[in-house]
Amino acid sequence: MADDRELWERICRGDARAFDALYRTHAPKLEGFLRQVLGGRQAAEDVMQETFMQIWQHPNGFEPERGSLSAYLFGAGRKRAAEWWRKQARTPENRGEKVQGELAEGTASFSAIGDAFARLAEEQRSLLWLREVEGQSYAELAEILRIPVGTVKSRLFAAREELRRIWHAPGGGARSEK
Amino acid sequence: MNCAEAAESVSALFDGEPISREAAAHLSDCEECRGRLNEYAEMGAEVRRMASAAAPQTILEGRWRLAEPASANNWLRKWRGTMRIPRLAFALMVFTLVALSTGLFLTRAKETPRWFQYELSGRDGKMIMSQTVPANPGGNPYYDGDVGMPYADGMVLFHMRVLEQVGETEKIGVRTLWVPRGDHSGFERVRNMPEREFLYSPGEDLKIPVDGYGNLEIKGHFESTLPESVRMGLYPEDGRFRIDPPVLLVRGKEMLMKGDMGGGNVIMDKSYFAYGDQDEGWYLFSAKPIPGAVEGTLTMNQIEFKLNGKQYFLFTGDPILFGQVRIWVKHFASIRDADPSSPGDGWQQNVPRLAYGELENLAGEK
Repeated sequence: MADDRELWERICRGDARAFDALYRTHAPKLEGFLRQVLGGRQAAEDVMQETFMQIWQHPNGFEPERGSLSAYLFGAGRKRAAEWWRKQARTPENRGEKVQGELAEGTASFSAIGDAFARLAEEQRSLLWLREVEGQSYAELAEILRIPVGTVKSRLFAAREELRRIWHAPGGGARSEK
Repeated sequence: MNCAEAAESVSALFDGEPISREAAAHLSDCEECRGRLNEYAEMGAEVRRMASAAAPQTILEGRWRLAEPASANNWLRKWRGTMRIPRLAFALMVFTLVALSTGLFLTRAKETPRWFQYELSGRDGKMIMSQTVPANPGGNPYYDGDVGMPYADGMVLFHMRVLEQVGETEKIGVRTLWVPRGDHSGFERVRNMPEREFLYSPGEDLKIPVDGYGNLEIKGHFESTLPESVRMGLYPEDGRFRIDPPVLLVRGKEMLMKGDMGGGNVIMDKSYFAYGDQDEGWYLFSAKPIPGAVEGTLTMNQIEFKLNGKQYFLFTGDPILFGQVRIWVKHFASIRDADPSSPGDGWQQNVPRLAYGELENLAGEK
């Protein structure tokens, strides 16, 4: 956390080296996350770039006491993604078909979990991704999603159950019996 | 407590969160809940596997580099605030710096014994540009300075090359052009103007007359190292190698390896870096001679060497260092053959990797 604070202070002073370090460390992870939220590589890359640009030009909002820099970036990226969707005049929930198609393209070689995962609502996908892939803590997830920690717990459970339900459903990408 | 009541606790338990005593008691005896826990684990592993395989292979250069930070005390704002430099001129300067840092330098830079840091002022005494270039670069065009400064009655254009060190002076070649208002063809034409040579002594106010305009003025000094204000994150610190992916290894016209992982930053005098995969083996690079190694040349982001009669080039995403140094290269079948203390190839897939270690750990060095 001390490193996050120091890095952030340098970024706030306009230190390009510090920001470059931040970008190189977190940009791939953020883009990977945004692909899940937005369902497409190009959109994810654009939003990732916009997120970093915004932070570089207006570094504010990160409070080391409340969470890690990584959590802050995911939160900022998710907020940008929501704005992106608003500009598209669509909501993530209304684009299920597209998301599934594009995620399937990116995950064609994987097990049926990719298909089941793509059928989750955007918030459930984000939550599971941040928890399972990025290893964010409940407190960090609460910060990213702006919800209470207790809600993180119940929503994670709901997301897992929904993924499990889709996975087991007929035609829902259930596992093949071994 | 029944399974439905305990289900949320299974999820929390899987995440390493504390659960109630009642839930724990139920889970210890309940086969169904343990099955659920196992399924969560299986799903989590699958999601992570999916994420690993779908992870972006490369990340484009950040667009943030094109913008300046908003903070009031950053170097760029200060710099620009004192320069009164037009946008176009600034863009050209940035272009020069970017070219210095990112080009694939197929022309050779010479050793960089010193840096020439100078300011160019206009006929009104106001600074037009400030630049730091390696002195005595032997005519490498990447080091040229270009600028244009508009006035109400036209624009003055300036192009400068640092030519050679003559005693304590620096020979510079200057092209200038005054373009009256309404003529927009100047930037192409200034490079075709005759070049005038001047010997510049540090601290001197060198006046350069420009027909139709008046005098431009150069004032500067020499530095033995690249000033930190100029380095700006473009180059590694002095005395260090910085390896930024992507890393490409080419033999003749054949691409041997292209890797996007594992960048690093090491002390030149104490460390090596190596690049390899299972098929091609490992190419180990050192700033110090190694028994059995061939000597090559490291110039910015390019290493050139000859091995078994064949020409090799290694390119990296950013400069490994600024300037040019000699470098020693040796090929090994495995990184462990080179450095027994290395954690080893350790890959699950045969993809090119970078490895780093201490020179003293190399086989035969102890």
